[in-house]
Amino acid sequence: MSNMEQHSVVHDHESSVLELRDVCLDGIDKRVLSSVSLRIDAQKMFLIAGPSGAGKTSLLRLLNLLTLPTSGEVLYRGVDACTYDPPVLRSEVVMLTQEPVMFPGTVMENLMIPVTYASNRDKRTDTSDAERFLAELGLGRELMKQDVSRLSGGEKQRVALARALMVRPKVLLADEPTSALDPVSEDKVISMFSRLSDEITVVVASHSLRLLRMADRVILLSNGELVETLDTIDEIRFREFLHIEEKKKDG
Amino acid sequence: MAENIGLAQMAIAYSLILLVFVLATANRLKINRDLAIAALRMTLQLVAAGILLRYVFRINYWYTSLLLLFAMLFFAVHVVIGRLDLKIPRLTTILFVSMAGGSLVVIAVFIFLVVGRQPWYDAQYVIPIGGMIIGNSMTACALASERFTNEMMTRRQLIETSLALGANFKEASVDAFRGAYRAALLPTIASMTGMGIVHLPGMMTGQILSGVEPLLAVKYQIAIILAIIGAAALSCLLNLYLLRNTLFDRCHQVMYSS
Repeated sequence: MSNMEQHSVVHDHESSVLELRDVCLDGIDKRVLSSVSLRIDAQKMFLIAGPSGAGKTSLLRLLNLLTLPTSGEVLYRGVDACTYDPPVLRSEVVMLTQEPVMFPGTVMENLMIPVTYASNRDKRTDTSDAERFLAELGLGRELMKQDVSRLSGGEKQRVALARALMVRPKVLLADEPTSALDPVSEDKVISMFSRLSDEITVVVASHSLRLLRMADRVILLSNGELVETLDTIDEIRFREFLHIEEKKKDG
Repeated sequence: MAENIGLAQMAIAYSLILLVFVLATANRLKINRDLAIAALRMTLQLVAAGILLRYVFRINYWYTSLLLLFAMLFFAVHVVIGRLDLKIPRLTTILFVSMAGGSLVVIAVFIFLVVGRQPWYDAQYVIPIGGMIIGNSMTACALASERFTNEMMTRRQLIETSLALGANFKEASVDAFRGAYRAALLPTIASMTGMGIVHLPGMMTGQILSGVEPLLAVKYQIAIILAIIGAAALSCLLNLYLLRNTLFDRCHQVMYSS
């Protein structure tokens, strides 16, 4: 290998954090994703849009190794993701599910649990970080000692986001992070994403136009296939796509 | 030695079950069929066991004792597989390894170090003691397997959430593991608590009936209960370790789905 080629390989690894190569995924009775190829660049924000059932959640799960592809490859930093120790990879590529799942206990306990995992031990996040994240998301200190069973849906979603941040992810995969929020808390979450998109790689499945405006790239999915990747954010094309897809579903 | 029971006395004992038949029929309880089958099975199985034991005690070879222990283990695995409705790869192997591992170690300790019986394979000791220990580790393994797989299913979302945040499979399933371990040992602990007050254990009763001095019978009973809880705990721990490693794949994902 010549020097130049070596250099280009290294450069390649740095620019694309995650990559899907011709990935297919079969569900129980149907194909969920068909030959999706995709590169997710570092420090960028990607938005995945598409009607329900298009494969958005499956795509995110693949990137977090919670699902393995039926065929094709998932690469993390240029290497087959499966060669990583899964907990180590998942402590860097963290997934935030659409339905916020809370561990039984208080809000603070929920935030501190991921820090106890062996793969997160050197992240050095503590209770002061937890307080800071919660405050940034508009959740007051009085909530810390509250049992999670008493939280509203919107509060849970924000606690789940704060909990994911406790892990200090390099890539955050978020599935519809603003779906259960009232306008005020949506503002908080949106501005959190705006800050995150400057610091880490963010891949978010959402139809929110406000998130769209922040995105560097938009991936349009339909029926398990990648329809289009928009480099420049074209709101009109985005709306048109969603409109056509909705119509297709209704028809 | 215990008093002999003649055929006439045996018939009187059986008449007690006739009383149950009469009462069940009078009250239309519809259990006569089940009761008859159960009584018949009990009689045949025990007589067969008696004949077999008499033969094994008489020849008393080391390999007949071991063979019977392994037969009991296989039978125990069979019973558990039948009772659990689980589709888990290699479940038979998992159950056999955990029950055999847990009970054989404890049986060895009991025979060699606690009782110090010579020869060690004396069937009169190995078989009944082995039976009690294997039986209890069977119950513990059945409870542990059932509870653990159940917890893995009901906590699936919690487990996946932990995994998505960087937990390894041990960290993600620690609550399911602890819950199953506790559930499996609870019956043994409960029966230990009530012993001597709520009921006199079977082995002790048997020994006292056959003329053993009560305090010696008590010492045997205490030793066997300790052996039982030891074997149950050991088998159940092995069982849970093996199950946990089977239910997560190389990517630390939950494999089991209903």
